[in-house]
Amino acid sequence: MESAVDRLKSLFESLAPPRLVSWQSMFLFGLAMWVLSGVVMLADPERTLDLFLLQRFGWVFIAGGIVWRQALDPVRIWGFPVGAVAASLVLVNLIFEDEVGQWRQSGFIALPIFSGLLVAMSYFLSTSGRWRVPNRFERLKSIVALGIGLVLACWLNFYFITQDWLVQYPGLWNARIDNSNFMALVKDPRQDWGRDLVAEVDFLLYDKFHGRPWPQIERALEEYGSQPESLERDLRDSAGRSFFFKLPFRREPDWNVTLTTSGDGNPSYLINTRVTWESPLFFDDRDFTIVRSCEIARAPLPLELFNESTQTGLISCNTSPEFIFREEPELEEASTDADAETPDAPTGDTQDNTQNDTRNNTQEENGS
Amino acid sequence: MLPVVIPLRLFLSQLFCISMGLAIEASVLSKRAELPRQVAFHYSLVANVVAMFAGWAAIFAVQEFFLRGVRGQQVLSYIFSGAFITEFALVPTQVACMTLAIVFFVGGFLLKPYSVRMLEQFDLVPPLPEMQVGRDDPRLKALVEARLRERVAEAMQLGHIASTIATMLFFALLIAW
Repeated sequence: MESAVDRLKSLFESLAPPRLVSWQSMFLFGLAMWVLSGVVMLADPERTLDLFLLQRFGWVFIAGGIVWRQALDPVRIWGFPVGAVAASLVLVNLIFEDEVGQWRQSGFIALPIFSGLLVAMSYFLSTSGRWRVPNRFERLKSIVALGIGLVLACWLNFYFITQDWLVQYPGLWNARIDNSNFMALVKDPRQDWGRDLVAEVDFLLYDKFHGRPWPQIERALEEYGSQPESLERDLRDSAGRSFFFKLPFRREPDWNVTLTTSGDGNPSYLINTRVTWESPLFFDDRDFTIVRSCEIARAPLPLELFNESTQTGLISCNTSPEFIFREEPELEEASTDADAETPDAPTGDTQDNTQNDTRNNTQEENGS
Repeated sequence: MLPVVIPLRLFLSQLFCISMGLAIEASVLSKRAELPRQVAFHYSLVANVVAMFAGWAAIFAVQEFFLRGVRGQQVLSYIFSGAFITEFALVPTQVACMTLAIVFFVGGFLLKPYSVRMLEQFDLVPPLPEMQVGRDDPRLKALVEARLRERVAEAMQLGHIASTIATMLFFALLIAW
């Protein structure tokens, strides 16, 4: 068993350059340049000198040393050339980074090609850095490595093309991607965990306010406004009753539902339901919020039947102006359909619904 | 984080098809051309990787032309939702897709032996095994080698056909089931 001191010693020994022209000297030169820029920065607190070029060249030499080292003999873990991938990451980061510090699309495509090239090159270089003629098996391996890199680059390119299509035709988000043979939908699981809760809240709202007598609606609204815990109690009751739904969170502080009312009931009430849940992951204390804006209106009645006792209410959700007057009309249509279907077919296709929820969510975050 | 749509199923099914094709083609090569198993596997591996890259490059080259107008919408609808749009004309899109599939099949049929032949010329893939006959007679040796290469090319094309049929059968069974 090697001690840490021995390991450090062997690391420093491996960094000692055997010749003048070697990867070690290139790496150390870059490191020295970086240290030099740090020293100059300390000596020059007013920043009269522009150190960008010095630091940049330092990075270039460090990256060059790493790439050189990996081209000689890439570090492998279970046969996979991790070292080559890391070196090409450094290279791509240096070449394809834009002013904001993000990679361009071509950088992602270049990454597997660079890795394949490095692995292929490592077969044609001996560990001492001289060119050599590999045997036939190694030549074949280099061809296959290069080919796999190219195919991975093609896959990445196709992924970017599909993302372009999604930007070009935003209605594709509404497609039933589960039925597709090509695409798979990957969602944030933390948001998925709250989906049942949101569906349960929807169910409760429709149960309480849709087609009920108007005085009963007003009483329920008053109760929910004055006693927030009664809403929670009703939620638990309906979740216990219903066969399909189980509330995903058992503990008390994990989720919270609040309901605020505005309007005087003539012609309608507006209610804002805010559903908040914590991420169940212990290392992650983000909250997720979905806001439903619903309108409860008096149901239209023929004049001869009009009576205060026969008056019922209708609920329609997400009728707030910022929800209606946003950019994609196709999405809005689909969302109202999905909301109308939610209480009838709770286990049905909830994908559209979730999609709209997340959009609504981001909209809310932007607004606040 | 908004949900992300990744062509993951496409990549996984391509990986699956390639491994199935590799197994079938390598066994056909070792049976029909009597190559050693390792050499047969390497030949089919190189040929398949090269053909895969050529196919993707061809798709990117014809993409602008292929996804134009109604055809593009139909193909996109099929890619994203697994169904064509029935309100639009369906036949031209299907004809174009079938033509593309046939062109890819024929392209692989021609490219696979050719790529191995090219890489052999640059001495990049393992050579054919040494023949016992014609050691003294260079003309006989050349003849025997040419015959062997022909047999390798034939076996490769046969393996291509067999692996394509097997893949199609597999997916047909999957759909029927």
